[in-house]
Amino acid sequence: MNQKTLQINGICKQYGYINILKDIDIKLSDGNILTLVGPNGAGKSTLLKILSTQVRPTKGEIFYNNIPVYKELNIYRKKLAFLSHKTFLYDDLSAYQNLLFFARLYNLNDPDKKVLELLDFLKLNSRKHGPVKYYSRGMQQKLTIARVMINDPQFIYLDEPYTGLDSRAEDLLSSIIFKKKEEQSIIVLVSHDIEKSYNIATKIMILNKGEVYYSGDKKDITLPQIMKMYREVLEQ
Amino acid sequence: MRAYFTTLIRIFYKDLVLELKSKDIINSMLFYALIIIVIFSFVITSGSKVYNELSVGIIWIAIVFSGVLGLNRAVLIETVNDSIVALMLAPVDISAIFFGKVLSITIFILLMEIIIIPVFTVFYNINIFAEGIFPIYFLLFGTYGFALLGSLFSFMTIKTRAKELLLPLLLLPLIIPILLAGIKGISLYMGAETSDDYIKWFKLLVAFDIIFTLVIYMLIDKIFEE
Repeated sequence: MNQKTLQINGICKQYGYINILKDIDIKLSDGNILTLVGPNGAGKSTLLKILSTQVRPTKGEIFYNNIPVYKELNIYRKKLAFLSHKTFLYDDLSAYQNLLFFARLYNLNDPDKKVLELLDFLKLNSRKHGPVKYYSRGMQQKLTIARVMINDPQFIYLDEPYTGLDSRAEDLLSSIIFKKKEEQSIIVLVSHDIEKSYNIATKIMILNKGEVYYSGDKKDITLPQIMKMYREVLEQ
Repeated sequence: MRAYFTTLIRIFYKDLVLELKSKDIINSMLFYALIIIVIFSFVITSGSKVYNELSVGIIWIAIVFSGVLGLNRAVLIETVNDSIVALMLAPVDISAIFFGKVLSITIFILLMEIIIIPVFTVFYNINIFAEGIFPIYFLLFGTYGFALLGSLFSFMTIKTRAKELLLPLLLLPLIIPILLAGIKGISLYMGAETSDDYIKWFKLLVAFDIIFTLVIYMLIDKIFEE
């Protein structure tokens, strides 16, 4: 199986005269989990949006498996998943209809089978035909995770994924992140929960005012050191 | 090409299922359009020279203003939970998503028209199909043009704070050719004595639709990018 890589070179993003990101470089490969840490307005979410092709960078390039992302945009998009604290679901559709719609949009071979498997895995089978708007928050969170996993993504971008999750949904998400890591997916995670994100990361990057303040492997830095640097950034 | 139309139909089908469940779009449009038709029927008196033109104008006013309401609802579905982001990240042609949405809005407005035109016939004592079925083409192409530009501006204003205000402000001036062609074309056709004059208005409507379809098709990726 080919090695998966994700590389961004000299990424800059400007909105008008405001520099949101300045010269960011990242190189990730199979099974890497990069945690992006930083204060509000540091550019974490913008970087995630650039990686997930929601926003184009002003300067710089993104490569997946050494291919420029914008050269084969739809092939890259077929392999990526983006999770934020919003569900991206249609409230009036049922869980089954929501997942089937997205599975078909991704042109999966057997969308029906995939949807039923996911519903079964997340124990949502009993309510699969009920409208999502009547689901509890926890069930909606599970369904959101199912939607993200529908295309078996290899590049996963998580923006504050633990925000608003109950403890069971948190555990479920963590177990899925570890499962995808074992499957050699590349994961980039933005979180304010430094301890939790440190525990699951293989690489850490601290952003401050759109610039890289620190970047390195988890093995090279301890949690107290990260916390110290984070506090320094906050004080600046 | 097959994949393109499959995506377009999937978007339309999803919207149709959502509408069958909630009936939000058609109900709100229908209610508003009927109110316009009924209220104006008490104001306009028959017998004047411009009665036909004025009455046809009211059909179009009802279509446009209730259509704006429908557009807002149709886009709201995509923004409530940010599902638009998931659509944009899907590995499909963005223009297929957009034209799928245009198709749904066009069909919903046409469904509304099927209900309001008989009501209009009763209240105004005018049958726009008395001379033939050609007004159907005016309604079809006019509705498509309106849905096309309406969807474009609805999505462009999706992230703005005053989107309900901005949409009609941006949209209404641009659809004046549709309104002119729709009103003049149908009333000339109903007048019948002026031979084929209505055809030039129909040509204007078709040209408008073709030009904007092509322009939007070419630019939609750029428009949706951010």
